[in-house]
Amino acid sequence: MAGLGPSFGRGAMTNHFSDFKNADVIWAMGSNNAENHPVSMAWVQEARAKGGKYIVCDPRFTRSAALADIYAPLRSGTDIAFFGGLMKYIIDNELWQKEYVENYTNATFLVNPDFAFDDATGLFSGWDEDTNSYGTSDTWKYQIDSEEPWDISETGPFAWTQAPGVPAFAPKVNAIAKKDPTMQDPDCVWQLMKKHYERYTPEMVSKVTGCPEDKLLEVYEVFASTGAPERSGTILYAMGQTQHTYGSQNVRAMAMIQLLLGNVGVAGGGINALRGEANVQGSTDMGVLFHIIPGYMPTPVATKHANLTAWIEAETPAASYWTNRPKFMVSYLKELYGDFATLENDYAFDMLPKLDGTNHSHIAVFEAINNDIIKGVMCWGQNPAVGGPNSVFEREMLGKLDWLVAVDLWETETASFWKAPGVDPSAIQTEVFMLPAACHYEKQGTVSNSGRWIQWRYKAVEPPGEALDDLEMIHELYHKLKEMYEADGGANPEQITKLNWPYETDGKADITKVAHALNGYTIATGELLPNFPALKADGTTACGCWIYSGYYNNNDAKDDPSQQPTGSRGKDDPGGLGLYPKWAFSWPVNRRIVYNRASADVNGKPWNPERMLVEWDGTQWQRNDVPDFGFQVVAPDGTITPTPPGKTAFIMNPEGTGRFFAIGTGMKDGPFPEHYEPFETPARNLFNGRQNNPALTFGSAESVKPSDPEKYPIVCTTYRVTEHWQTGGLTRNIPWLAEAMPAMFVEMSEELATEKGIANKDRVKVFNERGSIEMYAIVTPRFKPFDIDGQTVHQVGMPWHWGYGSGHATGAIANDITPNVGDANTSIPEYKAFLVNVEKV
Amino acid sequence: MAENAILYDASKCSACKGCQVQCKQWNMMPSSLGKDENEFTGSYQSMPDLNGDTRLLIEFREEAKANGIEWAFSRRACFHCAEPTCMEVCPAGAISKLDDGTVKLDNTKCVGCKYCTAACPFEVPKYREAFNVSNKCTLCDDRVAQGREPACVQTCPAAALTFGPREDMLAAAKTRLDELKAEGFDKAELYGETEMGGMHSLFIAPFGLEAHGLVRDPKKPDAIALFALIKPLTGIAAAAVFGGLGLSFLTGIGYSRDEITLDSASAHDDAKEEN
Amino acid sequence: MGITRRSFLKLTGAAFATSVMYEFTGQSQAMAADASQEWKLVDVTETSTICCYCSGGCGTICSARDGELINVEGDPDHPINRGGLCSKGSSQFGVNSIYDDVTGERMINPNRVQKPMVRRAGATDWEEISWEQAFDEIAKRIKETRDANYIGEADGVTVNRCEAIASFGAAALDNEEGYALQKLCRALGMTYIEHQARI
Repeated sequence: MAGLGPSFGRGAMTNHFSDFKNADVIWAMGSNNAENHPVSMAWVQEARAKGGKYIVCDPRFTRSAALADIYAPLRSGTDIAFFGGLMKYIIDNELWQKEYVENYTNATFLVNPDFAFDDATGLFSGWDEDTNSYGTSDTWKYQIDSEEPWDISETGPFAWTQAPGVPAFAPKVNAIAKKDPTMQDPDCVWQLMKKHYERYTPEMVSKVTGCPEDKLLEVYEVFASTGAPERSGTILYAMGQTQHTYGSQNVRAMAMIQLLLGNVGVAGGGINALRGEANVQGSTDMGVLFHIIPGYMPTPVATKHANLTAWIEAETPAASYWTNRPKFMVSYLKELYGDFATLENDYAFDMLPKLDGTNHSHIAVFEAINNDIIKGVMCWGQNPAVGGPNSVFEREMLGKLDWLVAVDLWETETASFWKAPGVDPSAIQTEVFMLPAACHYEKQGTVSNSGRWIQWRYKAVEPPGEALDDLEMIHELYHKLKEMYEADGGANPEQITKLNWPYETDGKADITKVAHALNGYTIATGELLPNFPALKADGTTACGCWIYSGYYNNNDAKDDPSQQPTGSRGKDDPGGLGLYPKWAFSWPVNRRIVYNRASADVNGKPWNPERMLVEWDGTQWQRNDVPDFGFQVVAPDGTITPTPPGKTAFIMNPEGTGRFFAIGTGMKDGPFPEHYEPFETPARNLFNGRQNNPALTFGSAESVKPSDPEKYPIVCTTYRVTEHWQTGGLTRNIPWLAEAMPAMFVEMSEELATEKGIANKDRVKVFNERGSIEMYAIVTPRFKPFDIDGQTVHQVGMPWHWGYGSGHATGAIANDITPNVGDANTSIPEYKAFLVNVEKV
Repeated sequence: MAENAILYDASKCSACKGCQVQCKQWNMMPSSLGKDENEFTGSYQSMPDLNGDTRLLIEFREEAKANGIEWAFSRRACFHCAEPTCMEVCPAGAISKLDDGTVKLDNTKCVGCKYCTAACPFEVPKYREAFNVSNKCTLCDDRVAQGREPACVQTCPAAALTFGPREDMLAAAKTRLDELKAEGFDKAELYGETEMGGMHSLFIAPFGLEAHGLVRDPKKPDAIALFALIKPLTGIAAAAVFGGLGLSFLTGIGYSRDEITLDSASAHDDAKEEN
Repeated sequence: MGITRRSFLKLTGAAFATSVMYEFTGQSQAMAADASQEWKLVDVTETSTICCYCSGGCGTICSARDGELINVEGDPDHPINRGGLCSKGSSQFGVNSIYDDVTGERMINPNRVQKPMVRRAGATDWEEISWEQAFDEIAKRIKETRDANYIGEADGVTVNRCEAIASFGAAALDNEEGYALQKLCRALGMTYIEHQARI
């Protein structure tokens, strides 16, 4: 999740589900965890049974809210105001965890004196109106104190860079930032942050969010109580934070709060991104995204990465664990192209397609179809005809394609877009292939849950009829294409024909062989590697996804997943903290709570002895979890020398600290989160002179059709219900679930319903410039109008699980009216706050 | 054998309906295969009431109060009464009480007369038309016999459902009730300790019985004495007698089939066994 | 992978046999049952899986007999869900099989697509095709589109990309499949590679 990476160094959920029981306060904000991650409630209830508090903030009273100790409403899209107010509250009332902030964050670091924020314009220093971006944001940087070049001598830590086979690149020089331990310097991060959030008073926050001031302060007081060193608080969030034009900044704000309160790296703490799908974590780890290749490495971009040396030099930082990036990259390239990848040909680096530097994200795909760039689309279990923003437009674009391949269990709306209601199939020239797939227990392989646990799924039954699993399809397609390019040539045939593809046994696709590739192996022997510290940049190791190294490393049973770390089912729980280190495998290196150095003070004593993850006993580290820091040095002869406590708690960040101030180009829309109004909003931005996030993406696309607050004054949000999932492809095809929640609806307050003459169960239409959709009304006290700066603002909400495709429950597609504008950093669409009007049909 | 009970704690229930669906899964109960045939209830509740293919239903009731919303969730299913009137009226001997207090409906004996529905103070047993039988929760006696928890209990992700010796469940319920009162749920009540002679499905109602749709002081229907009189008659004979009497309390449930015979009922059931 | 599974034996007193098998396979111990009477799970083969819905990663046990799915419920040994499954998790059985609403008969979910199909340009319906034909036709279209739109070099830099094909999805795939998918896409030069993390 963008927002976490620039704060902590990694973009993943910090803790995991069974850890929630350790929290003193659990705060669900932007997550309706009881409904969308029901299993989390067992752990929330365990925390509550021990006296923990459960806070739920949501525009409507949800099934989570029903179980909360405190419920506070807020208008969709005003999270940064809410969080900013909390930061001010914590700072003003001195509730922050002093030793943590001073040692484990960049609060003491000095920033370029030219850095500024102007609340009159709502812009940070460096804005360029011509490019509509902050560019390289030169002022968002630390002042430099000294420089330390890499020690590449034979005994130095970077000796490996000089080994034969390692691509040549210039050794890096680590720039050490200036600091003021007293945190008084006006240019230090602490002072800048304090100043930035001075405007976020409870009165202002209440005016903007619509949350009554007393409720706001109740939430602030309870959550800020976790700033006490021995207490932990966790924040559960999901798409309610990310699906905004400033979604990444929402996440940043939560990260800052958790650093202030010393809640990162501790049991019962952290920022827990509850992912929306069973394997959205894993498919992100696998780099099935335009901007990253596996293991969170940047996709080559032509303007920056003309060759492998340029890629390494640009993307290897001078400090942090990422200094090992060349090892991960060369090992990935060796996995991709095998023997064809040599030092001489840059390990086939040129075979990786290079981006032109433009946005190729989900929204961009449909713009590119519109611009006749994209002609063919493959959908592997994804249903954009229902799930994409402005799905009316997305379906229209599918009709412009030459061909479409839909791989799914069912005839989804994407597969059948050409026979959607009101569409004339004969007018659509797109050729559509529907390939029947196997479901999760009709095949085997791993999935990664939100908590980074990589778990093996076994095959229970054969898929029905002729359905095949996805790997078999990918495998067959690869072979077909290889045959065609070998026989007939074509554009750069070697890109395909030289690919290393050893994923079969007895002529059939074999997923355990892919597991070997992901784990990594020594090329000469085929031996699986124990873990990623064994990876090399000299072309002698191959590894598809370095962070997965160790998940499948048992050389004695290479074809048996149950004998591998990922298949392990041990239930030991050292410390009783729910870590379960022998159950499956958690990346990285089976670490269950990342940044766990920060669970102990500078001397290595746990803040809370009952929640000990690691502890320095004076001679060595006692540990319940795998330490997330250099805790010992193992000499070549096997001698172990424990490493006494240091202060580097965030090993993936070059400065070794967590970040209040996001440096460099980490964030595209500012080093500090700042409130902007949603792309469509009935309110004026009261915090600064800029109405919307200046760096939001696709705002000027013609397809967006902005909806004017004069005509569409009602805020609308979309969400999910427990009984259905995503576009409903699976759940509407299962009779039990179609029955459990049979119809599409919009929820609205009694006040709005009265105003519009709508009764419960009436058929209503919800509409804006993008479309008009019809559904049932649920009139409920669980929605209340907001008082926004003296104005009554109504909000309605609807789930997005319905469509016209196969299944037992059909209904309107909510995304027909969501805007296809994106977050500044991720281009995740704005599904959570937009404008509509409502009428009785 | 010690008496068992389910304890449902509505204050921990997230109304995810895991129990509702897992009950159907384990007991192989279908839902409509048609398109858009399920009625929209106007709330998150799946259907207005239990039906022949649904033994357990999560209900939703909401009310705005001065101190916030009371969104009361309820688990609607057989309470397994200690004095089950359904058993008393069953003319076919299809309903029995197991040693652990489970009230079991044996669908191989059921003749589909629906008397149990009429006699139940909660109208829990529902008629399953395709099989001409009544249908209700069996407390998963098959699972319990195998040392497993009932399907609904095992599947509850929020641990709002527990199962075990009734004494233990009662003790846990009372402790929980005290906790809830201390938390400010001053209307919280326990249901099932004494009702209908003591139930084997206990219910912690944080917002009070009425808010959760529970019948306060449930009573056997007035006509029960009549049933008791006729009880010695069984099977088709009893059905015929009742048909002839045209008891007023049966008129509301649409009972009209008097052609059913025990033979045809069991034949139907045999057919099912082959499936 | 027979040793990843264990069977419930119909025999009374099978406890010894089953306990040995738990150790051998690492499968659910909490599911241990005294199979002393006829019941639903007689003679089934059990496999563990992880729920396909949210990202909780709930352990799930599938029971099958003679290749047919019999039961799907939570894995009591699993440390996250401890046997629990919500309504969606409890419905996993329905992805493969359902019960007829009249006869009560178990059957493969009739909504599942079971054969490859194609809708030709302008056609009003699907036609079934063989897998061989499907792979052949799709590979041909990929190749034609790629060859016609391939960019080998731009501004003097080797870019080896094809912007004319996009791929969506992977969150419903296993990790290993997702890896293979991105590998194939990148080997085609594709740059529009996206999945559900973005939406």
